Amino acid sequence: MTCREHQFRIGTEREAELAGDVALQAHLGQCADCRRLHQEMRQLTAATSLLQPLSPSAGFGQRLRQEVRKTSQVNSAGFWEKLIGPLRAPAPALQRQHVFAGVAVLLVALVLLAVLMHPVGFSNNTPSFSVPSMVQPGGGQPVDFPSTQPNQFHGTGAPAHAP
Amino acid sequence: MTMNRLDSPPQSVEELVELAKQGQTSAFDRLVDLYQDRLYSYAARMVHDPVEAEDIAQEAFVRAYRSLPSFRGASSFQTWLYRIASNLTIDATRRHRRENTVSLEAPADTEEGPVAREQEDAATAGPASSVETRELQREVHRAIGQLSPKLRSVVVLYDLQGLSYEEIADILGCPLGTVKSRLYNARMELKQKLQGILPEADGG
Repeated sequence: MTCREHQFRIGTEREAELAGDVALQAHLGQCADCRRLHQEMRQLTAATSLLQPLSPSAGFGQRLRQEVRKTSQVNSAGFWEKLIGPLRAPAPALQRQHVFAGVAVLLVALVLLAVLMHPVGFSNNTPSFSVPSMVQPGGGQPVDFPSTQPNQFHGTGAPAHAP
Repeated sequence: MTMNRLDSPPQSVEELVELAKQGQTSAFDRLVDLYQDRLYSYAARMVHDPVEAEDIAQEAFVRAYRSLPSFRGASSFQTWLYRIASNLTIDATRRHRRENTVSLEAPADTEEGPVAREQEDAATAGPASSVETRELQREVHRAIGQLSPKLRSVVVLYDLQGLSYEEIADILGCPLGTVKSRLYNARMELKQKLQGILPEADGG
């Protein structure tokens, strides 16, 4: 093994693992650079081991459990509860506005749809206006629009679909 | 499988996970008790903000609880939990970078902001810490905080949380070799940063 390989091991493995490596220990006896790095890593490991585990603030565990309980209740709620639950829950002002705006848009869309499907001004179930039909009343032949009329859009006198 | 009831509390994590999957929130409470400090400590070392670290730890548990039905046990519950927390800390780091607010990369560089200072104090408080030891602890804490998130996460998980290479590779979703090289680079960087603070090596 080269010095570089030994140094990589020294820099990545725990002391207990290094201590049992006979080849490495023999190398450390001969190589001052690797020995120095080994010593530095031991110092560094000792220094990091001085760091205490950080603890959350008092009451964190309780708050955490409450949050999990909330999730648990949402998970076990029925379909309608899941649907309307968020509307009942105290939401931030901005979020509530979004909900109201959405409901308003939905209502307007429903009203428009109703007006289009049931137009005003009909009597006896017969619309007062009708879509112009190409078929003559009484089952006659379809009215053929005169094709010799000048095309208003093209102004050439030729049918618009002429090649 | 036998059903364990609370009058005979199960001891193993696997049993608790199984009971929590069946809807026993009290079993999940016990998992919270087991891992909340470790997870918080990891998050706090990563984001250097106690409030945000609590948010991350809490969110990690809530997400774990929600996703519990899909947990198949391919990795251990602990690894799975750390993975969720790790992703959350990465998101937090990116969000802070985007917002360009107080940096999470090197919080201790700022002249002892109240949060950083408070956390450093918490990190270095010990029953029998001498002034020199506390100062050394503070410097190490600061140096770790100055590492990039990728290097920091490996050092925190390996040196401070005592996880194995395999577990870290699973948590971070990277090959074993990457974990080792990140650890090597992190330790070399720490050695540089702490030069003159660590006691002199006598290997020459």
